[in-house]
Amino acid sequence: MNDAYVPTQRQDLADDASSRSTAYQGLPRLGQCLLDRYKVFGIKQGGLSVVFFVVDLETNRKYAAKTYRPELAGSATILERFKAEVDVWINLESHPNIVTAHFVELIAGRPYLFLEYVSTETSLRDRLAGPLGGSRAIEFAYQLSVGMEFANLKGEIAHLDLKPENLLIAEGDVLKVTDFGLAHHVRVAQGVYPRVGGGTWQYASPEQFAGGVEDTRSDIYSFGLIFYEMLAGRLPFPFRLSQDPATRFKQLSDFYARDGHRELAVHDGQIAPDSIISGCLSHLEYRFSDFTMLRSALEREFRLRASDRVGAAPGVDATLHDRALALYRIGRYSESLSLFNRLLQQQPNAGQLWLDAAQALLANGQPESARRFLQRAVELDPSLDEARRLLAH
Amino acid sequence: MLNKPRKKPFSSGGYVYPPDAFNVTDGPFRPTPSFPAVGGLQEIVFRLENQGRYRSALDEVFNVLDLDPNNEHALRLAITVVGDNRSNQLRAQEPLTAAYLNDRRLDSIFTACSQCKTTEWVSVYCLHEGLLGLNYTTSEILPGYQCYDCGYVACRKCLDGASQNEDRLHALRIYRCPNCGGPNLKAAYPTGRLPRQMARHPEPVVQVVVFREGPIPPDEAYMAGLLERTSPDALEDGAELIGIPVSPWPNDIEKMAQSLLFRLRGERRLKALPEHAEYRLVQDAVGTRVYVAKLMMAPGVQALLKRHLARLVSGHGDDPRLAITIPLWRSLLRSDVLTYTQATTLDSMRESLSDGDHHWQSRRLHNMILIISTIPTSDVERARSFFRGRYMAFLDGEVHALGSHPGEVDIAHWIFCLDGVRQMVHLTFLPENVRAIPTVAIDLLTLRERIELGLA
Repeated sequence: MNDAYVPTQRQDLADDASSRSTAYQGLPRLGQCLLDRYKVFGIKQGGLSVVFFVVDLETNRKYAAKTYRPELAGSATILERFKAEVDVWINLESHPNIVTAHFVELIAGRPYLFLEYVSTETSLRDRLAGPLGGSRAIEFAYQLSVGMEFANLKGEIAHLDLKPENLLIAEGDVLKVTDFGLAHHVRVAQGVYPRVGGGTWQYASPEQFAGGVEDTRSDIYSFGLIFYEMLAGRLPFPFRLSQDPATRFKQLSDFYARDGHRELAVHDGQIAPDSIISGCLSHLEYRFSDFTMLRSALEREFRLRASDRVGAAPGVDATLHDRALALYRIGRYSESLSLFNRLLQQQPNAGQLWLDAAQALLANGQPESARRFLQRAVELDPSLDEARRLLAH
Repeated sequence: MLNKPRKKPFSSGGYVYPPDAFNVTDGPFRPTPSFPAVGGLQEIVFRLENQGRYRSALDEVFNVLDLDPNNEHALRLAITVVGDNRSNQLRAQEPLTAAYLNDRRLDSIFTACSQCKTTEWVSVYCLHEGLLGLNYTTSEILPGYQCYDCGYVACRKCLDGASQNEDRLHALRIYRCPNCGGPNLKAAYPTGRLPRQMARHPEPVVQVVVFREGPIPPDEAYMAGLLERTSPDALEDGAELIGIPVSPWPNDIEKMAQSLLFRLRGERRLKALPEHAEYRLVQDAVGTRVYVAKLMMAPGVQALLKRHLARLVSGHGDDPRLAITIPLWRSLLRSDVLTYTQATTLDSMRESLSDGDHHWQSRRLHNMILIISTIPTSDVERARSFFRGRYMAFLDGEVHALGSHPGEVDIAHWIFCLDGVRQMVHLTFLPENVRAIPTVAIDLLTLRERIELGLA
């Protein structure tokens, strides 16, 4: 255990914020209309972020629009983390077991990530007053593994904050993973693997306490704890967790410092088959290495079949255009241009697309190309005043 | 072209290799019981690996593979670096990036799943002669297995995905070969893998032209990202990048690219001839088609120099100073050094052949004084006469003329000896680092000079 490693107050802030009801200065209020289009009908405050439930007055669709808390706006770390969250989430294709990210809007200079609205507003936490019952627990565990497997299809992602509060239960008992606030792509960036501290400590893996390796296997560990809790109605720790966050952190870090998780991995198999629980809660090197392996183990143990998976969710995929704009709005111009390039091949006569691409080209330091694109935008759609204005400059 | 596949296990010394019917490439790496060591390389690589500096460790290995692509010692060390466990890699100061893992020089050490053809791994077990005899089929720790009856390779995911591939012995799973049904599954040997990058050539890459489908010109960041994946040698050589949007994409992109390249050549924007290029059609991260033209310096003396350096590596065998010397020799193949060597050789050669005399040019490049000589004979006796028994004095004179002293900089002297019959090359390399191996073109020294230098 690294003594210098201290909790990031993520949970503490959340506990604190949830009791607060005053609106933040400069942020939308209930009933307010954003961009003359999105009307706020609910607000939920989290540890680092605020979520506004809005209805789109043009389409009547509901969204959860997430942004960071205003007092954290000056923090470069928070901004980077928010951008990383957008990056991970917006690049995920739509899947029934993952809350879909649709697009990013800049509102009063602040980026808002527009997410799928889950109408029940229920999370797995709300269902966990006691054991869930074997078949329901297995069903939710299976959906969680399928969702996480999908999230990892295009490259490994570590969510790092899997917990019942972040598993929403939609109509028809469809489990949806949400809050990729701590997630990152497990790939080398700036020469090293990125490190993120935090998470909710009772669901964190031993290596998260040690400030060490954080990859999909940390999520597998959290999965094991959640699965155990669903089956047993409690977490597997051999002590009662304190209500006080600081004490709770100390309890858990002491437990892991003496390799306590070895006790969790070895049990009598009464709760669930050893192969699943110990495969999740054992030492890093002996855990399931990814969710594909875990999902196939669940199928094998519980004789589940791929056809048992939940069908495709209704709703619209985050389109390529939304992703291109989202990347542009978080300053990832080159990647945004790759997507605009692809879009323009599909829709070469859409003036707005040429204008959007021109703005990305300008931001990317390619003014000559931007000029040509603006001219093309005006040719295709003379009503594009923004294109004319930019050309005049 | 693959050799005729072997259908039965075969052995070399203590190693028993499985049949190679499912090898992906010709000549994947096969360990042998005894192999010549590259002196000092193991110590350096292990030290860097222990420090979590995996990229630096592989750079050391690459220095050797650049000169000797099949060097067994270097490939063995590459296996230990790439095959180190994931947790160590994640914690490391210098974890391996995709560019390193996809490197062409490592293709022969990878094992590819014969079933899904997407899972690839490096099996460190292939180095453990004794352990390979063990049956691992109940083990959970291997990423995949190879059937020693038919040679089929299957990754864990493929085996786990099909329950007919396993028997149960209490809680243990025992896999069977998905191809022949046999129980003889063990740790896999390398099968090689299909290349993920464009080929590396002896000549430096001077320019890359990227033709991307769509109306938006590819920007520098995009092209650098693409090349890091497909051709990192272009970035290492500092090649100029040119991006060209192609909309609409033609039926024959090759033809169109050629005509655009010739137009660029006409505009004097090309730094090399399109004939000296490698071309490849790839897809970028968002699925857009991209045609990459990698233009290289015209073939010249590079192959000759590379062969000479490879001979030096094998000639010094297990000299413990070899590993720290190889990067210094390798610097003679650096793009700027090679460009100077090539141009100067051509100039001097022309003069030598016309007046029958020794011609040379010297220049300081970074921390190296580079002297290029051409002598119009391949006969060693005659070549020696051009220095009149004062070879070392000649070198001293050149170094001093450039305002330096031996011991302050690396001194490299290439001597090209050629006539109508054949061409030979000699090298004197006096490193600044006293722990590195000095090399003197001993054939050009008189007996007296050799005695004076203690080389006789």
